[in-house]
Amino acid sequence: MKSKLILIIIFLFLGFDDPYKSARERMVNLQIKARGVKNEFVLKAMSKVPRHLFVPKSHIDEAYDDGPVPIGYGQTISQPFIVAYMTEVIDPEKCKKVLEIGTGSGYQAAILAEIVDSVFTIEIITELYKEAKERLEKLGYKNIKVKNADGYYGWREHALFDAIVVTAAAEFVPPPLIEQLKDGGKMVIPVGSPFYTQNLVLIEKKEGKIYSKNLIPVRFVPFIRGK
Amino acid sequence: MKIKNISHQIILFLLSVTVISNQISLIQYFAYQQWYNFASVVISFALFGFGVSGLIIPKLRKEIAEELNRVIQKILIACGFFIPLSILIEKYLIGAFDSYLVFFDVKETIKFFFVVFNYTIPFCLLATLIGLILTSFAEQIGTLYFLNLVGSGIGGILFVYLLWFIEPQKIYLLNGFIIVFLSFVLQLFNHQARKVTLLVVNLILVILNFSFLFISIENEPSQFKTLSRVKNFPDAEVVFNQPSPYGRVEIISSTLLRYSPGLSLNFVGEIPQGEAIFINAESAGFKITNPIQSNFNFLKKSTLALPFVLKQPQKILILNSSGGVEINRAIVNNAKSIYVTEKNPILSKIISSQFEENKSNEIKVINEDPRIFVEKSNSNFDLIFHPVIEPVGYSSGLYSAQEKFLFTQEAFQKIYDDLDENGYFSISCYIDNPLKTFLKLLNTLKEIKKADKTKISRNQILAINNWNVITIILKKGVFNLDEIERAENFASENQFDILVHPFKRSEIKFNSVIDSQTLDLIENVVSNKESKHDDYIFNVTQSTDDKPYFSNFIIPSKLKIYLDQISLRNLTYLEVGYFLIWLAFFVALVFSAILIFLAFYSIKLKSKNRRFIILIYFSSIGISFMFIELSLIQKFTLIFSSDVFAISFIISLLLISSGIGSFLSHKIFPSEKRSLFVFPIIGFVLITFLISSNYIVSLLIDLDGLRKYFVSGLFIFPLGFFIGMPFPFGIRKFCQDDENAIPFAWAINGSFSVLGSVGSILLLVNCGFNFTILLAAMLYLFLGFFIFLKDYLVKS
Repeated sequence: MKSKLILIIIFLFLGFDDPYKSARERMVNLQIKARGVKNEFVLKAMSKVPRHLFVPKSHIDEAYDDGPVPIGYGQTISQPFIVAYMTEVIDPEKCKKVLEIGTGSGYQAAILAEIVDSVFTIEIITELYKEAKERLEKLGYKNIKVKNADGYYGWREHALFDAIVVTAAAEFVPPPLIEQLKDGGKMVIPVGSPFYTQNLVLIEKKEGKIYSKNLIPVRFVPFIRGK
Repeated sequence: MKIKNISHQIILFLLSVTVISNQISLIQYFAYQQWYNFASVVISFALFGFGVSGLIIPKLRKEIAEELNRVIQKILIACGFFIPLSILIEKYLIGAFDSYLVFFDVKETIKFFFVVFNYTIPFCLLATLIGLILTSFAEQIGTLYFLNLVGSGIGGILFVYLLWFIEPQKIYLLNGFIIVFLSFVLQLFNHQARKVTLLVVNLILVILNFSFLFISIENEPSQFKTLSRVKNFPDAEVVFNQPSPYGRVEIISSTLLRYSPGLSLNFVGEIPQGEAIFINAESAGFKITNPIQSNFNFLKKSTLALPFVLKQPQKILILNSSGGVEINRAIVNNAKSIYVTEKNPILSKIISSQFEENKSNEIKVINEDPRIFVEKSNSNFDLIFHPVIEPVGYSSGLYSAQEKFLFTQEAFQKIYDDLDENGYFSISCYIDNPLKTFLKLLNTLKEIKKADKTKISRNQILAINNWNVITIILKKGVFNLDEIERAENFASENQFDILVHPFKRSEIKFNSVIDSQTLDLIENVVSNKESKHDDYIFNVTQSTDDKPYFSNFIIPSKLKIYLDQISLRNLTYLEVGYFLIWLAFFVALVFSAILIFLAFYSIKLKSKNRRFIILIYFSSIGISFMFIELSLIQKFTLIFSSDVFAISFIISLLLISSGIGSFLSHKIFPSEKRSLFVFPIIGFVLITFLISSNYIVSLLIDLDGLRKYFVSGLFIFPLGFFIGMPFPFGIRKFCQDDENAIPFAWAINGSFSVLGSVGSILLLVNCGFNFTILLAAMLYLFLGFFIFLKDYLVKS
């Protein structure tokens, strides 16, 4: 305990005000870049946002691990790679306004806010909403608006959106969300359970028609041809 | 008045009642908390307790000789203390483990170990008491073993009935009360044990245990179970809550709840709000709150509406009510006669009352398991409809050890037979990735035999998908051009894709959610190409009544391939449920190994050779008894349409019949030589049962109510009767002239039964019912041969 304290003091003294910086760099290099995320904006945002401030104190040691972290209420903060990948697939650098359904800890919103002009995020669980709102305010994110409401209706006052990020698996896509997506806009939805995200589905609106596409984030080959 | 033999018999009987009811209540308790009932693990707790008791008894020999009654009294008090304590420890100290996280978070794995250990302590004490009485009155072993098993049998039947009224955790606590109350009454009549301190402690425990019956001790489901997640909604309200042996039924109302699987992405309009129905905290259906004011157009814009688009079905059978929303779909599509099967009696009433005022359609809600209904049905339907089956991806394979007799090759054959000429069978599933559920459904459908005994052909299958749901239709007959045109128009209008076209390879236009290699595989399956699954690393072949584990896709020999592709922190594609059984087996292995080591280390026998013989004999009968018990539970889950009914009926009846068998064993086979016949008899009975099992199942399925239980009893009884004999036979043959031999045998039998219990689940999932029963038969035959050979060698 003592030695840890001394180390922290030395770091502070030498000007290393963020003891998690190297953990974050490792996370970006080994978990995100290595798996094929190339978008510079995304990588920069992932390197900057202090993920450890978004996880419960009891799980702070796991903040930069290669996996999701439970945040209570049956919810998780997604695996870093999934957050990066979901951000990359919506081409964030081309987006001005992004809607997020399921704020959770607020981490995904913070990553988006580093790249796009404004992020609108909706959380249904009141406790999570309050915590995330306070956290994002403390971190100085002025371009994030948080609302405690049913994500089904989207956020009509601010529609249309360039992209919509749905962070929780859904059985169906609420029609209001499709309506609030710009033509040419993209929506990304995870499919699977919170701890075992199996794939992501990208929904695109092109000239009034809706197309869906499966994105397999971690390439798992179900065939063993040639063996 | 001293505790005489008759009192010991009463104590033994009541203890046996509580041992079994503790098991049943814990099975239900875990079924609510987790995704699986952990029956084999709970049975292991009990068996491990029996094993440990074998170690404790020799240590208590001195005290027993001096004052048996006081030892009994003290252990009874300890039981009354540890039963409520184990619930409190789990609830407030260790916390419930979460099977969802067991492979993700090491803390959960440790919790799993502790929970197993925690619930094993009361079983150890109960078993020690039973063992004490059995060994102290070894000359009455037949009568006592009989009372032990009959008590267990009666306990099973009685306490399942109580599950209609009382929560399982309360039943567990009730057992604690029964034990301390029994202890208190006995102490009052027992001069020797009537010490003031003991009496006061006992009285305090009686009061404490009694008050626990009135204190609310909630069983919380995992935070990841659907019920917990829905309860987190701000306006969520429990509007209905009732316990039952089928699981606790709960209805949650919230303005946030909507249900529309397979919905078109271009649908514009309202999706009505409703109430979600849960059984054991898992989603069991959806009920629209205001059906009169609701617009049901959304039900027409789903992949699930496809069978109604192809033609106007008049007579529909809906398998699984799914809360009533699929009845609404049939009504909105102008179906005249709608038959709905719902196995849960509470749910069945709820659904019936929803449609009471509907006079324009003929709606019959039948309280029957869908599989049993199709087996018994003589009528034909235009459409047999199954709603979307469980969201497999969401459950992460946690259902892999759950029997699903509605999705087997035999069930699909019966459904096909129940279709009218040109009728449809429609079933939907979520798209998992890599694709597994759909492929398994497709393979099972392809195994159906037509009237001319040929297999289903490609031109009888049609499937469409949106971004996350596939609906498959099997037609009893060949699709015609009009139907194809309707399907194509419906797909194009709603931006669905035709995944399986009856006449040509599919073309994906809107939803590129399945990769090209898997599309090739689908094409191979529908066009009957050989070696279609050789390259696929999941088991997507049809499930059968022999191995009804529809949600298990793991091929054990390909484990290395799965692990090579996945890092431990991200078990993305692993089926957690399957590996959870292995983890349970590992825990059982550790516990058994400790027990066997302690038995060898601490119990000294007169002869070393005898130790080896007892090990071979009692381990074999322990393992094979569990193989039979767990296999029968699997088979009777189909017959009784409920795991809890099957578990309690089989455990109870096997114990009663084997109790009677053990009681009469030395009367039927008075000489040692004749006793050897019991082994080939058991082998013969088991193999006969195996050969005729299909006939027995179809006979029993056709029966109703008590007749089903009675006739089932007639089939099980002879089996239990004979498998009860080897235990007292072994005690008489190997243990009578050595006072330490009985506890040693008891410990060995208990520890191998622990392994046999979880091991049989692994065998059933991987090798099936027939193999497991055959293995049990072989073990008994081997034992007969072993004893014969040993006796022959000794003589010669």
